Amino acid sequence: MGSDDRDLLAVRALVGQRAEAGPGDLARLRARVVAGAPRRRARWVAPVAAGVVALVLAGGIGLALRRGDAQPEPVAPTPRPSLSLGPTVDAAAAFAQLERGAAGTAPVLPKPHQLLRVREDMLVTAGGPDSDVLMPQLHVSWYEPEGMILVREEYDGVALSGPKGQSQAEQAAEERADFAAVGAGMRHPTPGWLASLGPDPDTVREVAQQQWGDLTNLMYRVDPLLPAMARAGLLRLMAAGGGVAVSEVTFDGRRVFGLRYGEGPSAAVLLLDPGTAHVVGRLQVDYRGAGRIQEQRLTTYEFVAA
Amino acid sequence: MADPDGGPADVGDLFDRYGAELRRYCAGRVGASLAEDIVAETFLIVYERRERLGDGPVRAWLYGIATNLLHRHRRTEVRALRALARTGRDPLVADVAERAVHRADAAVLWRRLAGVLASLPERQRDVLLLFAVAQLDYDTIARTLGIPLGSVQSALFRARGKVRAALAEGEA
Repeated sequence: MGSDDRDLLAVRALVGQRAEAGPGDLARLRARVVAGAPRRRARWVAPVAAGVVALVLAGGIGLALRRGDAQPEPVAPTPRPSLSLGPTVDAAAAFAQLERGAAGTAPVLPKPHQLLRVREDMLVTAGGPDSDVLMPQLHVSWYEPEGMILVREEYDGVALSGPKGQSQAEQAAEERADFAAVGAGMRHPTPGWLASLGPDPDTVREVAQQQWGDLTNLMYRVDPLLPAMARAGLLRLMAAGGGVAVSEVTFDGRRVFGLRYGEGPSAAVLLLDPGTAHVVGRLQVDYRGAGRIQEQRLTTYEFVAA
Repeated sequence: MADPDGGPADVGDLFDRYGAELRRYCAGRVGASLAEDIVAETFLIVYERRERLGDGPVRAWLYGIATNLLHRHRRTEVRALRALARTGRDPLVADVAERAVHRADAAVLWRRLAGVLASLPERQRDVLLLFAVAQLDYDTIARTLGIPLGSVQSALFRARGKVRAALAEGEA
């Protein structure tokens, strides 16, 4: 397979337009690298600070806070426990246990003006298949529960900004417009839409199009919002599709189930609490040999004030 | 950290050797502005961890770290591709270059192609762009992403099949 085939040339041309460098761009970047310029900069800080000052001067600070423009409480990092992959267990028995656990759960419904905060304590490989170098990262996202609109996202305490310095508020506005256009569904789940799924796997299958990734991603995104019946329906659909391997995964003396689809040498693994079927996290695992965790995310969900 | 083509390198040497291509790859995915942050952070991470990384292919380390950092911005990347697919305007391209695209009457092709790239699973998009844009070989992509060679081949096969189908659709 050559690297100059027509499809590759088209991809290269498309993204190549974005990569054009102006005079001095590379030299400036080199100087920044060599000088050890600040590793992380938050370009949202200046515009947000300026905006806050302007709002105070205009007497509009109260309105801004109600709109959710305030900065959420910072999240402190915690030590990251190391996970270990255990043996494969009987999948049917594991799903039965998860369904029993799901039956005892209830969705946590947000209060007005609350955001869903999803915190992922991560360990990520630095690159290379033989490396044991892991980069710790803390990833925190805040969502409006109606439509799961991402309103803020941080890595290691630094907010991300758009490619041209757009604020996260501007990006959230784009997502709200998309939600308004397409309505509730897989892309923009709402508590009401989730409640409509019910326990019937066929109903869930219809909306999820029976894709393993769609099912696990949905469960991962909206975990605390899932009604018991919908959680059970998702689990039944996962089990009905076949091809799912369930392993024991342990950390901090805790035992959870890891659900993996397919027999590929590398796979995503969804971690669920066997007692409640709630999401605990997810992994990317290289299954060659004894199995090696390439990326781990331990995930917690909490509703917080906007 | 040993350079495969020579002795230990300092960060300036590393940048001179790989900086331009790494910037091109990152900018192609998330635009020039974010790419600067990502490239700068990539070189600093590699340099700070040079003793822990051991001997190995530096190029794979650089692209591996950069790709991990790019994943922080996957929403930006996908959102821009969707915007291009929907409107024909690439929010990550400066106006001058964008006008050049319109003159070339390639807007329809770009829209279709952007839609395909936006819909690819993250792994397939990583592999495709590392192959097509960074022009890494299979082995280096496997090392970069920490995945088996067979996974690289299958991901690339699937991604290219979708791109080719989109191109063929335009000719039909």
